[in-house]
Amino acid sequence: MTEPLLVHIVDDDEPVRMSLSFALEAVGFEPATYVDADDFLARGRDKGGILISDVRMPGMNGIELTRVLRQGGSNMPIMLMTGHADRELQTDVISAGADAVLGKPVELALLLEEIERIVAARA
Amino acid sequence: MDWDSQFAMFMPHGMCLLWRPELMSLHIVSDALIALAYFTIPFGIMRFVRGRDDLQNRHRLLALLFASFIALCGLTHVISIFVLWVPIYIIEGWIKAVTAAVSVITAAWLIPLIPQALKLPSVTAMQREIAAHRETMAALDAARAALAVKVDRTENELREAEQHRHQSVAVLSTVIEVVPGLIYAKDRAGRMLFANKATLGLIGREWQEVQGKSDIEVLGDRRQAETVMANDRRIMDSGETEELEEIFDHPEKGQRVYLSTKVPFGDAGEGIEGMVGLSVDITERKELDKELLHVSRRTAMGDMATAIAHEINQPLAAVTLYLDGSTALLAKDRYEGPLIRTLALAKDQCLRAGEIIRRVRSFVSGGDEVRQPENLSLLVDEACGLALLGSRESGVITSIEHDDADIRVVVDRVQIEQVIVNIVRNAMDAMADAENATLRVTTGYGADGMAMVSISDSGPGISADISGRLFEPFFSTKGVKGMGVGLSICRTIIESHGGKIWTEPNQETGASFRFTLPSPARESAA
Repeated sequence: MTEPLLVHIVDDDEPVRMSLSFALEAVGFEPATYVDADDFLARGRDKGGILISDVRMPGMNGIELTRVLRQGGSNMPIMLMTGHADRELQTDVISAGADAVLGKPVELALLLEEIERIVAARA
Repeated sequence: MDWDSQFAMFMPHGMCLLWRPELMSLHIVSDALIALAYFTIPFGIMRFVRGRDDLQNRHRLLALLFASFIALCGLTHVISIFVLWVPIYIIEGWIKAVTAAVSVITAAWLIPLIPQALKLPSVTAMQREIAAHRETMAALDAARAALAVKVDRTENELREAEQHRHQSVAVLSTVIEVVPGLIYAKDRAGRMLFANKATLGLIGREWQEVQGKSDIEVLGDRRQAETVMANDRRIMDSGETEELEEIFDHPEKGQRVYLSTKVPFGDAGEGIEGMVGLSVDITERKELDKELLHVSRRTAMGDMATAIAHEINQPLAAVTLYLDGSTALLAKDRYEGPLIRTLALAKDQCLRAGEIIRRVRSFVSGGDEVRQPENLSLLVDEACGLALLGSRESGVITSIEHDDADIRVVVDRVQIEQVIVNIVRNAMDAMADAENATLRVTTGYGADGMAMVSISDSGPGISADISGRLFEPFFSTKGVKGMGVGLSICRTIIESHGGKIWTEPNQETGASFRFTLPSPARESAA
């Protein structure tokens, strides 16, 4: 049996963070949660897996976090989640180096499809 | 006594002179010269008297006496010559007596006149006085001339001042007449003292019909008149200037709102004699203020919608994932009971809530205009869903029908949604009190091949007199509730897309709003 995929979840909103962790764990992933970008950079950036981060967060936001990781040479698949996925934001997200952006609320099925897609793209 | 007896009694005076020729001659010549002189003087006096017409009668008489007395004296000298030869001493005596009498009378008359004569000024004095008099006269003349000049100048100044006043009055009345505001004055009892053209235009009467009348007698609307008169009374009672809004029915423009500034005049308290007022039509300005308020309210709503969307999205996202995670866990345990279905239903509701928030936010925030190909039926479905939010309790029967489910239009989705929401909301408002309220929305193609959306209601319909003005800015049938801008914005949006918007009455009841949009698919197919 293969190792479950490590999914780093960065969101300042605890219910979102915990529900995401719960849902992903239920379908066989190994979630790890972080309260903000700095927390992730300190504990999770070098552990492999994929990153799901909220865009709007206090301190460093999701786009800045993506930029930092890509500038540091990271090849980690990155998915950003936002409450309002408008065109302008999508452009920013892609130019920062993220692989996908999803609007909230999101269905687990769509989330899984996107995870599969970005993992395949970065493989 | 006769001549003979005289001659017999006396001897001639020559005898006393011993008839000596040299002595005789001396007496004769002297007496003759004296007599001559004495006779000449009265002539001079008489001539003087006759020549001076300013003399009083008593002075004339005195001069006559004087002349007589001198003439008589002359006569005595003539007699003296005569008696040298003829001894008429008795006659001579009597002549002397007469002369004496006249002399005494003359003297007696003359003496009292001496003080008066002394009082008479001398000629030099007279001349001096005359000169002084002349100088005074000259000075008087000069003064009179100066006065005349002064009077002239004063008259000129008065004329100029009058002219100036006339000009000022003319300018003032022009200003008062051309000012677009109402200017009027009323006395303490509220009777019209003055009204400019604009005021008369509002009242719709001539000055003669208005002069001295109160508002209640000249204004068509009794309630408006009573309000205005109450305002005026309060201002005159208090003596305080006030700025207030008043409503008048304009004969052409309908009901207008005026901002009136009313100033009492006269002395404070009992002395207030009336008031002057200036009223300016601020109807348009008020509409604009309302629109501004609407815009700012909308901006605030946009900000709020964004904030709410974020705050609600987070828990919705969490609930969705918990539900999906639970479903996944049940599936893992091979559970196949009813919970799978209820969890799915719960999740659908979460997604629906999320969708509503998304729509509301994109609708309220507007965003930049972006035109892209859209499916008209989907767009109409979404807009109607948004417009009918919360209207389920109203009991309106709604139907949405698409003649062709695949009509393509190139539009700014948010703007067209805004138009549909506006019209549907208006229709719902129009049917608020209607029985069997029905809203029917259809999409299809119009006669000209353009895509067309029709929204029909079963409300009271639109009366002919207002249907022409419906799309004008600030036109509202909703009173305070309406913004009066919705339909004018709708027209702007539709026309900027190259379409048309209009209304028509329904066959049975209510009205239909229709708009068209160019449809590239249909045009290229045609």
